[in-house]
Amino acid sequence: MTAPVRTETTGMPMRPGAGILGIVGGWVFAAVVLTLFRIWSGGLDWNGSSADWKAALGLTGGDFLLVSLAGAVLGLLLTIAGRDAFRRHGLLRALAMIGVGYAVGAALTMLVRTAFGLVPYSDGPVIVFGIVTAYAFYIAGMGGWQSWFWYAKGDPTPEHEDHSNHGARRGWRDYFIFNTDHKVIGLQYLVAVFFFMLVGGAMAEAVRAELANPELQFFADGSQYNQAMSLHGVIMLFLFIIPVFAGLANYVIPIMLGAPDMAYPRLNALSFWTFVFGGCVFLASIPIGTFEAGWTNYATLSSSGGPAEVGLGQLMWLMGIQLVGASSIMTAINFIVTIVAMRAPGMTMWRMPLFVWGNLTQALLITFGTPFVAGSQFMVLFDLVMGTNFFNSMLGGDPISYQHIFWFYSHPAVYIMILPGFGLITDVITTHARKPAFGYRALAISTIGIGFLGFTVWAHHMFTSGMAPWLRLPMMILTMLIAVPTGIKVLGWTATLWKAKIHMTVPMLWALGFLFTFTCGGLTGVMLAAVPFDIHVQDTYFVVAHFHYVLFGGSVMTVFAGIYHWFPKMTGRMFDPGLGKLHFWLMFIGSNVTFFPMHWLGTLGMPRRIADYQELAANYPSVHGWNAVITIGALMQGLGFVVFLYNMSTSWRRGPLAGNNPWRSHTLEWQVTSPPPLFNFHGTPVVVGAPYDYGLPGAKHALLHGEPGYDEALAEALKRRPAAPAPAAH
Amino acid sequence: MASHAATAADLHHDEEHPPPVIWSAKTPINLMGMFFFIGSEIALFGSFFMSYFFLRVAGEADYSSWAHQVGDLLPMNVVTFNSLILFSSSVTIHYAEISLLRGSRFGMKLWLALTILLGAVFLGIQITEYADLVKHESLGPSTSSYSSVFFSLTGIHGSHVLVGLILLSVMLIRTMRGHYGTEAHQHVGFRTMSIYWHFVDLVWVFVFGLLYVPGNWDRWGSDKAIFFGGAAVIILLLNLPRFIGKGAPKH
Repeated sequence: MTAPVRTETTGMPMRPGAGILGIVGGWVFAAVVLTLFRIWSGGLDWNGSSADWKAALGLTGGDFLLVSLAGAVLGLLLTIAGRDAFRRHGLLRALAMIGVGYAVGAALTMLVRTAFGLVPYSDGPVIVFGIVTAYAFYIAGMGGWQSWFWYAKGDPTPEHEDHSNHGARRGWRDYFIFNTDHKVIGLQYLVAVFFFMLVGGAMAEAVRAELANPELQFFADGSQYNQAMSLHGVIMLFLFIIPVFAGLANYVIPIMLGAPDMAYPRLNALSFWTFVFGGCVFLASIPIGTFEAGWTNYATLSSSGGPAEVGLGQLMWLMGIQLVGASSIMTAINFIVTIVAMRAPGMTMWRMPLFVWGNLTQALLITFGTPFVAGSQFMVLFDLVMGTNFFNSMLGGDPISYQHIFWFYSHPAVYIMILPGFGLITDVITTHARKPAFGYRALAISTIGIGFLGFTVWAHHMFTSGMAPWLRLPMMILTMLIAVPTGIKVLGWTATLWKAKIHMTVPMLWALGFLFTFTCGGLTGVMLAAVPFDIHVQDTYFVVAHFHYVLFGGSVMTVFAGIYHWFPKMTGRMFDPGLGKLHFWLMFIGSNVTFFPMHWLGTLGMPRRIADYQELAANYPSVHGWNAVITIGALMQGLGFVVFLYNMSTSWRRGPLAGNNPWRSHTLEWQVTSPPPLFNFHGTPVVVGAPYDYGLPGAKHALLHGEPGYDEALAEALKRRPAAPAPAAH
Repeated sequence: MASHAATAADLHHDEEHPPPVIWSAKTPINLMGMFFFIGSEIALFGSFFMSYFFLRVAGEADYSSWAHQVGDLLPMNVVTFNSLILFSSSVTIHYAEISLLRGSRFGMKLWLALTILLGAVFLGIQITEYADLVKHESLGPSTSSYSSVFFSLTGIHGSHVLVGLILLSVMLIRTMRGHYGTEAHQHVGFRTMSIYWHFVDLVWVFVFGLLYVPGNWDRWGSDKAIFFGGAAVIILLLNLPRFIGKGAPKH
């Protein structure tokens, strides 16, 4: 059995009658199945009355309506796509398999429960196992398991010979299959995360609309506000800021290293499609049930009672984070191995661009840290669904243990969110200011130092939690210590800019904005590290101000710097610089207007995560005014994001051609065409010098195959390579 | 694939295939990836061990002891024997690797099949122990916080054993179909998966040593002798080649 080679698709034209038949057929099928299922599981008293029939056909009753609609849509898709699309591996087949997989998992769970004498249907187990099998079938529909399945059987895996699912040679269709090309995956990630950023940003605008006035006026009740606030946090952290670097790095780093792709291309693709599924599971908490416990999901708010009590959306959160976390770990291992084992000849660790250093450190943090949040959420899931007592103090559990395990990951998580950004800012600053990095080794070593120290300071999030008091002083000192390597970096960047030829391009603007705003955020971080101060402002808007300064003013600004810097490489076209500058100023001014006043609100005592602050506003009238100002700032940022989306989409299609190296950079990704060829290089390049030697006469970072001096440089570099190990067997 | 590319010409390639990679590390990437994956699994077990330590050390002072809640109820003799079974499975897979290196295909299949058998027996006994605890000792995951940690840790270990059994079956199927050979590049996959099995075994050492043994030291009594005696026998068996004059065990 050989893999089918992709050919041009020819869809079957759809006849109107077939379409209507598909809709009606799908609707009736789904309604019948759900009714039978509900009768069997004991959740439906069937009297045969007209009310029963109405409910069964989805004319009344929320879940019946949803399922019937899903059936109708599925029926329509089936007829539009024709049989062909479902014969092939691809997204349509995968979507259909989600329904099949969920049904199989739910049915199996109910069968096992019946065999053990339990009530067949119970929210927790059925939904959890249903999502797991839905995921497995979905990946099978994408064709993701195929290679490994053939490998397990001992059959040849031919698709790596014909490269039929590698690269984007057929246009947009290649972005909707299980594509193993790191450039395709990078763009898939980038588009997906900006979609999620749009949703998370909409949640933020909703939160700010509510907070513009002291009373509850935008949401119906505090519960809805909690959902919006929780979703904003979760989406922005797990579905935007962490995966966006997966996207940028996936595209850029293999080329920067002189490699033809990542170490595990199939794992790379699996990682992306798992991420998409996990993200959609998170978003499914909107229609299915509430998830209100904030992104930190503290026990026992999240874990006591049962799924019905905390809201079915909580189960979506718990399953979503396992999937997104697993995706993250797969990508991280991929990066570590690629960076360690696939550098071009001549690229020693000290000749790697700093974006690679940042990514390597981040990948190590992800690999060893993310399992801790997975463990903590497993414990919450077990408490909810299995009745375990990890956090139930009545039977010996301890809620504070949740916080320790959770923050043991979630503090390194913030370094996961910023370290690649630190690295790429060095790339941007050196290139756009035409000057070598000041203190390259210091910048590299401080990255590792921040990563390492980041694992030691988790309890600074718990100063007021009631944990062991003796822990606070060491945590305070270690946290303040992290300011040292961070300061080395900030001073290094500043020294790089000193007497440099600064070109005020859009990426450079973002880098400068980052330097200012991140430093402000870092300063408030040192303030918060001081226990006496933190005791007063913990869980107030001061903390919100701090982390938005470092997350938005820090991470997000580096992301935009990177997007604008590498946009010409990825698309072959140049963005509109006027719109880019407008985007920058709207967001720079907007973010400062939004987040600066929050410092004052925090010290005045405005708590986090509340929708109604009438009491505080009665005591301090300025609180209302500042909240209104903050909302206006948030609107400015939203406007900036719209400008960004417009710029990206129009420049991608109609922007002026950019050429190979519009920024005249030395690093390897700029030495190939824009966009790069299928396997990045026509021959393995050789690295002969440091990556950022701008302004030094005769300095070269790398030589491409065929350039003068290549042969001698290659021979020289190969002498210092270890004897090549056995290549990976297939 | 050729290792050191001798000339630049070797590194050029046509559009349809990637150039041969000149690796910048000695370790094959399969092994490297497995090591880092095991690192992440150690962190996962670490989070549950963290909960365990927290509940035992920083837990409520007047909450009844670990021994009373969980320790006394565990069938120590059965579990001691089961641990020896799992340790033996690590020995058998080690011999499977030695057979591979010596080119003995029969030896590979035999030792691999034994490993799978021992692993399945281990899992079966663990499941029986669970059923026994729930039915006769009324000890389940929801009984107390200590029981929650116990069942979670052993359950997560059990699921890793199950995954390991699947991997071992894959190895056996591929061996039957003629894959794996004596050259270094022909058996990286074999070594990669056997490292995973050794890791599962190592975790059990910690689970057994930290969950079953404490609180049971006195009661474990005669089983101590069986356990350490059995471990000594296993170590002797591992060094058998050395004793019968075949030199140090090949690795």
